[in-house]
Parts: sequence; structure tokens; C-alpha cells
Amino acid sequence: MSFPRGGFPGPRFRLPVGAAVLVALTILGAVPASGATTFAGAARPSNVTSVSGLTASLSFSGFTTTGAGSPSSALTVSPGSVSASFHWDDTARAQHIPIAQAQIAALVFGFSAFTRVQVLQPANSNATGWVNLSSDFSIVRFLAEGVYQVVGSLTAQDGSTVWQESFYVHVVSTYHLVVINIVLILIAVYEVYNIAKLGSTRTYKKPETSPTPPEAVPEEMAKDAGKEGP
Amino acid sequence: MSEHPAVSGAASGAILFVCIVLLGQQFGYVDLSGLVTGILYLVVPAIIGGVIFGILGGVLARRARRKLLAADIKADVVAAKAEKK
Repeated sequence: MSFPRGGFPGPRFRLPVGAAVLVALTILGAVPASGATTFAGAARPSNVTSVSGLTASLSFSGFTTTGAGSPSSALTVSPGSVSASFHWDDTARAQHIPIAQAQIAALVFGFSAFTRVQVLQPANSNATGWVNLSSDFSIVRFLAEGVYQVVGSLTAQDGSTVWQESFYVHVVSTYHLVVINIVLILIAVYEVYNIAKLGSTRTYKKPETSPTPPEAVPEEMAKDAGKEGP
Repeated sequence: MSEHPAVSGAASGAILFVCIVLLGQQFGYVDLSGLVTGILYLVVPAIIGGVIFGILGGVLARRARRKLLAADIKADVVAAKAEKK
């Protein structure tokens, strides 16, 4: 394959190269949407920590979270409204823990990106109980998608966390049409264009100088000035 | 261009690789939930992309300049031959 004299890739190659990158990135994104496992390693149960005697379960948008302990086994959900339901059982303990708060949070870089808290007033001191949390993310459904670690927790009246479960959720948007994807693809294509531009000779061409020498102008002007004099 | 082509290529490569990692997270390939792993998943590809595209930028620029120089020399030779005639 020979490239034009302008350097690789020539002006007529830039658009096809950009289009090829765009198509490649789109195909890359379409693969996990078909349900293929995208992470290496086997699925593992969710990570649960609790005080002894207290058992609880959490369902997220109708799915049981116990088997979603790794990104490969993440619960696939659509963006929009999200619901979480906590059920706890403290019958094994003589003195029941009063549950005062249920919380769910999605983590990004270790920080809580989306948090939803339900405070029970007064605290529930029954042996068994449940809390429902619902959140509407319809406004941000065209903003982002992706795999997120979600942490659901139950907090006692004294503020201590008595039960906690972390699991993974894969938010999949229709056709991956979200703002962040479009912006990232545009930035990627622009950077590919910038790199391609480094190989073009037009980038390093010096601007051509004017053929008229600047010294000739003052002479003519001087003659004209002499004729026009009184 | 005001800056060295290798520097420009390295910057573009680093940004390109970070974009690819973030797209991977969006499409479900990469998990950026943890702080340390998330930063590692961004920094390591950025360094790799910077090095690869820095070298590539330098090579492409040198090739383009060499072509430009060759074209200038050729034009000078042609002009000299035309003057002789």
C-alpha cells in the first residue's frame, strides 16, 4: 500500500481512518451488549459483612444480589428508575438490633457517586423487617452507563453498620447512546487525527514570503510625494 | 507546530488511551470502582500510550520533514537545470 506524498495518512485518508476508528469503537461497545462475559475469572458471590446473628438479603431492581460479587456476574439493568429492597432477620439474637437506616451507594474510584438513604423514624426494633428504597435516574439515563460496584448497608441506631453487601451492576443503555460515550469517541477521533497530522508534510511547511521586496515601496512613495508637492 | 512532535504525540497517545479505558468502563469491560485499581487502570495505559505515540510522533515527523527536504532539493535541482538551459 502506497501513501500519497503529503505523508501518512494523506488528506484523503484522514476521513476513512477516523471513520474506521469510530466503527471499531462502536463494535467494541456492541459486543458486551449481546450478553457475553466481558471480565476474566469466574463469578463469585457478593461480599457480605454483618454482625453475628443478623442475616439479611438485598434485591436490586427485582434481582437477587448474592451471586453478583464480580464484574463478570454483574446484574444487567437498564438506566432509569432503580429499586432496592432490604430484608433482615435478627431472630437468632436475644436482643434485637434497632435498624435506623438503609443505604445504597454506587462507587466510582472508591467514592460514592450515587447514594440513596432511607431513614427509619423511629428505628425498627423488630426481629424481622424490610426497607424499600427507590430512586429515579431518568434525568441522567442519557449521561452514563457501565459497570459499577454498589454497596448496600443497614445501619443501627448508634450509627454502626450492622450489615453490608457489595455487588456489581452493569447499566446498559439502548445502543450505548449516552453523552459520555459520544464525547469520549469524539475526543479519541480528534487525538487520532492529531497523531496522523504529525506525519503530514503540510504541518512543517514554512509560509511563503511575499515576492515584492519591502525596499521598493519607499522609493515609489518618495517619487509620488515629490510630484504632488507645491 | 510550537512543540516537539514527540511531545505532541505523547500527549495525544496518553489522552487516547485514557479515552479507550473510560470507554471500556462505559461498555462494561473495565471496573473503575476501586480508587487504587481505578487510578492504575488509567495511569498505566496513559504512560504506555504516551511512550508508544511519542515515539510514533517523532518518527512520523522526521519522515515528513525528510520528505519535505527531499522535495525542496528536487525543486532546486530542477530550477538549476532550467537555468542552465
